[in-house]
Amino acid sequence: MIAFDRPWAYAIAVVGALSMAALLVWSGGFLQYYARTGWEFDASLSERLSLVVVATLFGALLPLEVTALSKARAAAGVGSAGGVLGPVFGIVSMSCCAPLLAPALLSFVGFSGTTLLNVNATLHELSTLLTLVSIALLLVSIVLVSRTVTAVCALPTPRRTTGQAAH
Amino acid sequence: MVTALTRFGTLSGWGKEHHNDGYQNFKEVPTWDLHNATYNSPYIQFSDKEVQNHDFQPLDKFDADEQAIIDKYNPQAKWPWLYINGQYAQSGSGYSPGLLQAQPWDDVYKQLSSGTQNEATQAINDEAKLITTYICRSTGGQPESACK
Repeated sequence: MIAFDRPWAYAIAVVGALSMAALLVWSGGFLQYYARTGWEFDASLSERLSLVVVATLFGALLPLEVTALSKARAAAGVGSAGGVLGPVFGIVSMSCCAPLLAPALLSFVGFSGTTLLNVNATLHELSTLLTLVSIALLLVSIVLVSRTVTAVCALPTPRRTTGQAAH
Repeated sequence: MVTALTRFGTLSGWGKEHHNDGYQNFKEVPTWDLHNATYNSPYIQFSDKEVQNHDFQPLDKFDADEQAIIDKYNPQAKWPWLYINGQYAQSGSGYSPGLLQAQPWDDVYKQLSSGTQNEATQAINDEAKLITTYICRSTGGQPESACK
């Protein structure tokens, strides 16, 4: 894969995945400290799975985005719907639909505590569906950005030259 | 909290409850059902609001004062949440629910009533002591039987 042909791409992927995991753990309030028993990671099995899958997909998406941006700059004009929609889907999946992240984001943009209680209840109720939508949007994002990278990197068809001099 | 409250008044109409199995990866955790409980005390008033039931459906509504307090001091709506007289607020459980998981409600109650010493009862009693101290600061050290 073109995006992963350099070592830094793997570093970006790992850092991105770990950062996303840390953000989700913080946002979900999974890491708890109790005076008597110390630190605990309190998350259900489905929450743990969601966290790992979303963080891994985000880690995979990040080097693709970086490559797509740098290649697109190098070959200005070679654009596609995937070039725009890929990052959009990636952002939407993390901001709207990730039930682990939504409460912290909504609080950050000014939702009140009592409003969030109702939002949290709805998010709990729809958590499986929203997590699946999140993962699907991340996958769509990866596919679209991959296409953009491939389109930008495709070699143009060489023009035939006859080598004949004009007389 | 219930242990602390009983030092300042009388709690009646309570029931036995438990958290959902698998919630935060814990097995069933025994707890109190205070949804229909009443509390009488010459020292303090107590209001318990259950946010949602086991199916994540809303249960109790907040009055305007309670809404203002939650919006101000608990903006991320973390639950459980304890607020005492504008002086103290506590988000989350005071001890790990893991200490009580998979234990029958009656067993824990009997252990507490009989003064059995184990990690769970010690955690509950320590938390009760802490909440009692907070309440005593709000009541000006009254009653002495609770606050000495």
